[in-house]
Amino acid sequence: MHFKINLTLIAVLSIVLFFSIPFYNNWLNTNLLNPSLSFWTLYKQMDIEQRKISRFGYSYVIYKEVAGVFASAKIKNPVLLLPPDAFLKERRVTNLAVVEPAIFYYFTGHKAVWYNSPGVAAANCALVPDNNGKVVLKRITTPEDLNNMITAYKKYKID
Amino acid sequence: MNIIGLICILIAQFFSGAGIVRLFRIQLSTVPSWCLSMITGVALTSFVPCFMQLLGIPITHTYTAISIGLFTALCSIPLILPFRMPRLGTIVLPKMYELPFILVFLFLIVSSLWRCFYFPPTPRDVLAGAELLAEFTVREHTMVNSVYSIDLHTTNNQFKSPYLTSLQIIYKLYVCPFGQLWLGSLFVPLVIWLYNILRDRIHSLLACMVLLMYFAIPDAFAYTYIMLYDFSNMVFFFSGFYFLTQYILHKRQPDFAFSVFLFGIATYIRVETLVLVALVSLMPAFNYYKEKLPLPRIALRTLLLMAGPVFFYIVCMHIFIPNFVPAKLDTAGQINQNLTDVSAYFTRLSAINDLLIFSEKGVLVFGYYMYFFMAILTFDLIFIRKFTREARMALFGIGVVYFGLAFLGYLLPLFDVLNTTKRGLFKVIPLISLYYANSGMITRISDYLKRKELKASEPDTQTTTAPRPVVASAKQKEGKAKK
Repeated sequence: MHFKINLTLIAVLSIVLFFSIPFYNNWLNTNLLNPSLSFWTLYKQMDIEQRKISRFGYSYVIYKEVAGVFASAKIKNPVLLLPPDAFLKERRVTNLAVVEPAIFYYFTGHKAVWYNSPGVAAANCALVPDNNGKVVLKRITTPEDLNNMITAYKKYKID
Repeated sequence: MNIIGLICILIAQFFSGAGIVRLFRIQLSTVPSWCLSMITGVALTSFVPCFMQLLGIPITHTYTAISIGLFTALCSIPLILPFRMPRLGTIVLPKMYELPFILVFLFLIVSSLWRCFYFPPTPRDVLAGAELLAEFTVREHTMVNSVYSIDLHTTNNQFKSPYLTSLQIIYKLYVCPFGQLWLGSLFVPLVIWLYNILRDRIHSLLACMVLLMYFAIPDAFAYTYIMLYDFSNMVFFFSGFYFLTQYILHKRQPDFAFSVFLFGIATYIRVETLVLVALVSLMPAFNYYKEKLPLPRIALRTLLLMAGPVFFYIVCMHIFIPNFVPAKLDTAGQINQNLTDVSAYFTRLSAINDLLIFSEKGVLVFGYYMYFFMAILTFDLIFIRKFTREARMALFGIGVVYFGLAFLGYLLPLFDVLNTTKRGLFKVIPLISLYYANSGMITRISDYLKRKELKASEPDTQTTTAPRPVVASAKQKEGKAKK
């Protein structure tokens, strides 16, 4: 029995020593015991949309708002022209991460295209930066509008 | 979350897996057998939506439930014919000194399961691939859905195995909107099985310590709740490798057959595993050569090992993609066009060392796990200089993954170092644990602890057995004689 107690003490000691190693201690505190990730904090927020927002961030909110505008404006078959990330950064829009068309479809159920996508001609809306570091949704009404945007975007590489 | 749905799916997975484990006549004790049944069942149920799609059955709640039920019944036939009650062997309860570790493991397991349930899938590869396809399959009741009408030119994830998509479909339909909880059905049985493997070979205290190091690998732990292909691939690759070693050690044909099947599943999850299995096949081939088997038989048996992976490779690349994915995959375009330049292989090998093992990034990914392994191996090489057959095979497996991943990087330039190779290296983690279970240094410490434990428990056994009264009566007799 004494030996088993000794082994139990060794077990406890080795766990304590293991998690005292700075790297593992940091891992434990930041990844597992972090209050923002704790069960009690997260349990208060069980709504599916809220969980998506907290995971995908601000960009997800913007894309959902875009989808909301599509619905309220009753735009038929909306296809969004996505600006290149570098284009937005240059215009001081820093908090919006541009996602690829597949992920936009996952978020909203609506189609999006890059300037170099095969179906770019079908784009009828675009996200464009305003002067306050934000983006606004703009309707593309003429082929000239679309061509102008594509020409402006072509200077930027799509990551 | 739909608890009843989850329980039903877990039961279906368990019984379909148990049926296949029985079909292969795998001899395992109770707990490992349950774990293996669960692991196998997860992969098996992932075939259901694919079969439904192939047969043109709409993927709805009702039809999927019926299909899973029928599939489970079909897989469970070996459990019923001939009818035998499940063998309930003795379950070894944890000892007192294992409890502190078990509490830590439980905490880590619950954390992983909770995150699986709570967080939506985030990796870009699944949001633009499996998760996207699964989400729209659930909405549109077909795997060939509107996703293929959008611009997918920036991603190749639609060409990946249907394994993840199928499991997501099932769990989204019956369990919770984010799916993902199936990761727990792999993770929990894997660690319990691994723990049993370790405990069979080394003292429980050391087994616990090895498992703690396994749990505390930051990236490997993260992928127990972040959905991607590599964790599942690791589980099945390790399982296949383990049964291959058991076949070589004990000459049990069912182990070989099961290993072929498990390697097949690993290939079904990530097709490039085929290359690694081809390298692994050198191990039994060398063994046959040592047994002086004729060359044609060596070749035939080696080809048999490749049968499962090749079958699943064909299923993925020549049946799934041409029939389910309405887009063309340019396989030839993905292969390195300058294969004569072998220096690319060595460049890749040194990149693995520099970026993933001997670097800050390496520590962030694997913790000190790799360094600890190297220290133990060096100690064994210098001081012990004796390796069991299982240890040698585990080392061979580690070598296959290490050199094989570099080879894959040389073959397929898209197979990058910091993402794909990094996650591919997870496959060495359970193999390293298997090595620890056979390491000369660790087994010596284990033997010492076992001896001490046995010695410490001896006086206790004397009190309960016959000798003591005999001794007592002899002393009494002696005393009487003196009087």
